[in-house]
Amino acid sequence: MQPDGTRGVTRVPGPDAKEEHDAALGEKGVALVVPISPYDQPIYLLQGASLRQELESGVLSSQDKRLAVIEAALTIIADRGLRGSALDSIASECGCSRATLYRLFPGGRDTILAAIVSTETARLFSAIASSMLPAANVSEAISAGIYEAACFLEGHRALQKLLKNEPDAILPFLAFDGFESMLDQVAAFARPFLERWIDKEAAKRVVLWSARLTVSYLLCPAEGIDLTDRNTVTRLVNTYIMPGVDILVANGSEQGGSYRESFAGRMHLPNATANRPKASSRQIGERSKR
Amino acid sequence: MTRNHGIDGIHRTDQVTQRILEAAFNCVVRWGVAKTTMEDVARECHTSRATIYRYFPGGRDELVESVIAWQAGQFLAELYEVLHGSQSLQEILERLILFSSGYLRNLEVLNRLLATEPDAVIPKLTTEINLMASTVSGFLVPYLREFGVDDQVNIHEAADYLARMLFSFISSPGDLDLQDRTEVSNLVRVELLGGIAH
Repeated sequence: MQPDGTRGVTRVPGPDAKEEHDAALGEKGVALVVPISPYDQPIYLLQGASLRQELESGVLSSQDKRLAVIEAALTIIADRGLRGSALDSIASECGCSRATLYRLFPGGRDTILAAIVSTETARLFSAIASSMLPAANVSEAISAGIYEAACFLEGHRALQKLLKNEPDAILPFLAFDGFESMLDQVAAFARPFLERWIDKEAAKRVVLWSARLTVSYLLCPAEGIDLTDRNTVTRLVNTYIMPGVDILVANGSEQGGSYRESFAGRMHLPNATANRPKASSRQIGERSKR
Repeated sequence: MTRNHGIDGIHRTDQVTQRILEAAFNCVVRWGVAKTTMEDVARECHTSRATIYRYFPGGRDELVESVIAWQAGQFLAELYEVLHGSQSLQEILERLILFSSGYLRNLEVLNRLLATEPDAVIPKLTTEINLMASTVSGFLVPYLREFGVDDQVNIHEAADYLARMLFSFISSPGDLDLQDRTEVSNLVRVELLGGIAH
């Protein structure tokens, strides 16, 4: 597992990203430049300022105004849930009219909610990216990513409110097809950070694996396993993930991480493939005929 | 989940409970969870609502929970058969994944409910999964004991980890083909057993 220093590195935000971040906060403490992922343009997020002032001033671009509305809507959702986040409530929280909201978000409330999802996803990815960047090896990078994701999600008031009171709004993203498309996004974004040390297939695989682990322990906490505790995360990663990563690396070649790569030669079980009873596949066949 | 209500005697109670569960299951397959009423179930098994309430005092909610538990029990019983005779943890988990993914793919009621009433199913497989995960990890513990795990591994934590990963990969396999022996074997070796049993 030596850093090869060639793959992926050029697309990863520079090591001074954090400083750029802070510097970009600017005198007014308003705009925050966040590198979302190695592939995306920075986005501008609004922090702190009085929403009413900002919306009424001619200073803000419409992008900043949209972000102000998103912030207001997040506050409302955190306090009152989705059910309490009618367009009128958002308008009164922002101190603007429904017409202004419709001008900024032509589809109205649905468009605002969709914008919230993409903004918060970008923020999550951005937080994970900043944490994975300084890591010195695969283990550190994975642990940092999991820890950061856990802290972001656990501390996300609006998300936690919905999970508690209106889970139907969130859970479809975390199971079956919805979860698969979320996993795809996570893989595309985080993979390059691991490609510094392991091949592309392995990197994708390890990212997906870590994301599954994170979502599982966050949604359904296990006793003694708190992902917002750094030591716990490091222990979990070193216990369950790193030995698997070592197998992928030891398997060598560019395709080391592919699921198609068979480990038949390395199996310890005798007759791993030769004499195995075909019970399971027969059972499955029978079921489908029923 | 079988309830025992004294006067009928155990045998008869089991039979009646079984009939009610089957009837309720048929109703759910036909109409979905939300639209199935106690009246429908009573009609389906030619009995009265009162009888059903006698066996399931918790009413509709308890009946639905019991149907799920009953189905899960049937699945585990079949799974147990499939795993019988396995020679290693690797083999146990390979068989488990091949069987379960095929079983779920062919489980019409699940597919239909996911399409029509995801709200009735998804919480069971996400936030409420603790219960099922603890069933599965309880199921795995004896196998981990039998075949042995690496020294530093805590068997209960490892079983819980395995249960979570199994749920995750089986319900959302992504690009993986869980009916393909090579892919499953690779998955078990790396993601599942990598840190548990070398």
